[in-house]
Amino acid sequence: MAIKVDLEKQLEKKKMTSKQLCALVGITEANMSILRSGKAKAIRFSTLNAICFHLDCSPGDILSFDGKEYITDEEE
Amino acid sequence: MNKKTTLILAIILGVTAVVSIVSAFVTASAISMAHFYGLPYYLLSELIKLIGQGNTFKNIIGWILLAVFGLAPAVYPTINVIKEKKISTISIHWFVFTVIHFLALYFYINPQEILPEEFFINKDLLEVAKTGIAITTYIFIITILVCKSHFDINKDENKATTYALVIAFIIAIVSVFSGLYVGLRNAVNQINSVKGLEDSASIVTLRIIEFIIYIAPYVFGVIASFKLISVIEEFNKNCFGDELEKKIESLSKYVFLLILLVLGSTFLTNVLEFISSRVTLSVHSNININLPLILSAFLLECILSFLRKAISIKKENDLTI
Repeated sequence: MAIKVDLEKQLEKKKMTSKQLCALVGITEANMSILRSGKAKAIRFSTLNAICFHLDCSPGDILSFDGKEYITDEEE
Repeated sequence: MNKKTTLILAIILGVTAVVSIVSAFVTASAISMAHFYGLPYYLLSELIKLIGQGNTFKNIIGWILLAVFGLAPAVYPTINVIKEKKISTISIHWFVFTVIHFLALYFYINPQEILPEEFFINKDLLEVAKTGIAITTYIFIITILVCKSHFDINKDENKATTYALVIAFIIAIVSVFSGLYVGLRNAVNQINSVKGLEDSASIVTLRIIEFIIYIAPYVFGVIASFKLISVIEEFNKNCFGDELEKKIESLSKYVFLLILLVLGSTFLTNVLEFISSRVTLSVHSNININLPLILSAFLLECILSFLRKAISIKKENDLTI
């Protein structure tokens, strides 16, 4: 996946652990691990909304595009 | 076995019984089909006769075998009654079943002891009587299975119903393997009919080859049915698992192989019949027989593609945060 999720910087900025973020957003630690490891296939707007709200940032701060070629679901 | 599967088994046995009764009464020519369902009793009686060396009434071994096979269903209810010191409804049911089962077996071994002479003059009547008594025993098993699937029964009675399942399983196995038996019997009859003729050795060899060719797809068919059972079990366990996909894929390949085997077997049988200068089989009938098999193979492929898509959607959904 060419879309990268980077929560570390924002967590550091807010002095928050990923466990605390899980509790605030309402997702399991297993799902948080999938998200941080880049294995996630999709993210709901509601989840993104909650993460941005609690980390006080915008989606562009945690999501980035690495500029590599476009990969379809089938290719993955 | 869960309640739903038990009920399905009861329905299958019920339909079998109804079809047999109808076919026995509608036309005399269909009696052979009705007789087919009495085959478990026929085979058991033949076995007793074989080991007992003939008529049971002249031989103590025959009597012992009749007692062992005939009274076997009464073992558990008797132990249960002695242990519990009370007779439950299902125990009575089993005792009545044992009496009918014993009579059925006795009847199959020695029908002339029970039936009047008219039945032996008209062979159709004898076949109807034989099938009727076999079906009566089936009906008892069906009622027990329906009881198990519809009512909450206690632990002891639940154990007793296992008996019904065992007997139903034996009937199913015997019905499946009766095809093999019929093939073997025909081959032996054909071999016996040519014994003593000129060049009989080559004809016997030809018949043996013909029998092996006839049996091969049948054996593969039996294995395919076991594969189908494992697919159903896997479906009940995890309907979106990779394991189910693998099993359906393997079954679908197996069915395609089976089609090739059936076609090959038909072709070889025709060639062998041509070599032995007999009337060749109609090609149309063979095509008709294979069509449902071909359709089921494509249906499996279709199910497989749906399942693959469903599994990929499920995986994607699982990885959506």
